[in-house]
Amino acid sequence: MNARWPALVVCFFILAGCAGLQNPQRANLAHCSNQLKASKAENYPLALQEGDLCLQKNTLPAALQSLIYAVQADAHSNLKHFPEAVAAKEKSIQVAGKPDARANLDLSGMYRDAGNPKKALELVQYNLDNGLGEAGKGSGFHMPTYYHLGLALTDLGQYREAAEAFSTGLERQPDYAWAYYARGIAYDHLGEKNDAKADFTKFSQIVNKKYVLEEHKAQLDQYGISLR
Amino acid sequence: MLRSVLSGVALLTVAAACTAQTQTVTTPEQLFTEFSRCDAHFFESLRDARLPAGTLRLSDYGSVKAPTIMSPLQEGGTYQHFETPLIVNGVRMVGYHNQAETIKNVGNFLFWGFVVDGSPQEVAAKLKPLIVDNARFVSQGQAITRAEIRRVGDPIGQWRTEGLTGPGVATPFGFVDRVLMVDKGDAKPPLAGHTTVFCSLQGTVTAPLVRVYRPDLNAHLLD
Repeated sequence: MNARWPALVVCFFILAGCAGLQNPQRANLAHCSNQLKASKAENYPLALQEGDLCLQKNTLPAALQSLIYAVQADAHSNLKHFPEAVAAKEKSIQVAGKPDARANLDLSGMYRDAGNPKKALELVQYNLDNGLGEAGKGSGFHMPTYYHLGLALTDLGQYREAAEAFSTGLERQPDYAWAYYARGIAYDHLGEKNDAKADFTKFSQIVNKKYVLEEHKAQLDQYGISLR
Repeated sequence: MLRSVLSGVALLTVAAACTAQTQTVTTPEQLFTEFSRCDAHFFESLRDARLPAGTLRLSDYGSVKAPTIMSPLQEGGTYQHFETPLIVNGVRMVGYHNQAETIKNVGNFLFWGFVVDGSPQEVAAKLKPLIVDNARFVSQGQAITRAEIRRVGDPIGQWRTEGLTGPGVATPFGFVDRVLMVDKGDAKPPLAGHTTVFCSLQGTVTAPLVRVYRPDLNAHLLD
């Protein structure tokens, strides 16, 4: 969701600006801007509530409506309401009406969270089949596509292919710590312990520690690796 | 959003080949058939192969064997000349070549195979009956090739036979080309004046793929 913040901020100002025009409209649009503010403040229950009101009380342009649904999806995801997150994200993509590679990758992640890695893989493959790079059609594929591809393959138990996907992403972006971690997991499942250890070590050296959870530390512990 | 491309793409699975038990190779022709798969079978079969004396000198590489060379990365160290040629269906194989390299912004390349006497057309005609999936072994300009392509993320043993890159075109990022090729040797020795019968993997060739297809190599040699 972080990548969407610039767009959210712009939309917030647009909505806030519109809200200054008419009182009834202002009240309605206030729910929309409240949703964005709540989401930014990580108050996800409030974001959902305000988002629902925003969608009920306004006839928004498709792009804004899509954004509101996307924020709803993100809020559901953060609250671990995975089926609801998938539904909201699907709605966001449907309303937008045009293929969006990043949205498909986000949805792929939500399907994985919801326990449907097959669908998650299909979404990444859809991007690959249709040349939908992260920066638009024909722009080529980079770490986000291969990272999501690898994660879906990992969840499907296709560890060799997953390791290959992460390796491919790392050719594009060799400083993405989480791809080393994810590839380490794949190697671990393949029994290739030396490669797993090398990847977990690299991860421990370059990761931003504030995002490392206990489960990750436990995995590193198994290889005698601690975060520096 | 279902994957649509598969309907138009014929897929080869190495899985079928993998189900064939590796039997002890007792003739050069059997060895060449294993080689023609362009995968690990060749190196696995060399483990227990019974071949004519004085032909291939072999070394152990992990759990498999391969013809001994100095280094696939070192110019001048990629070739083994056979003291006695290995005769395969009448083709004189005089040496083995094993090369690995990275070309910036293009990809990784692995080439391995035999250096032989005779013209490419003549060699290809004699070897064709021994080549796996030889219906796809066809002329492409001066060379005779069997080509296939694999997209990163496809099952590791699955190769596509449509949507091929074509000769002289760089493999797109995220894909690997695999080619069995009979061609005129390089202008430089030791390949000059010979024909080469090479397998190649080129493009996004990563360590997880190398480990499966080239168990004789350090999977990370191109990292």
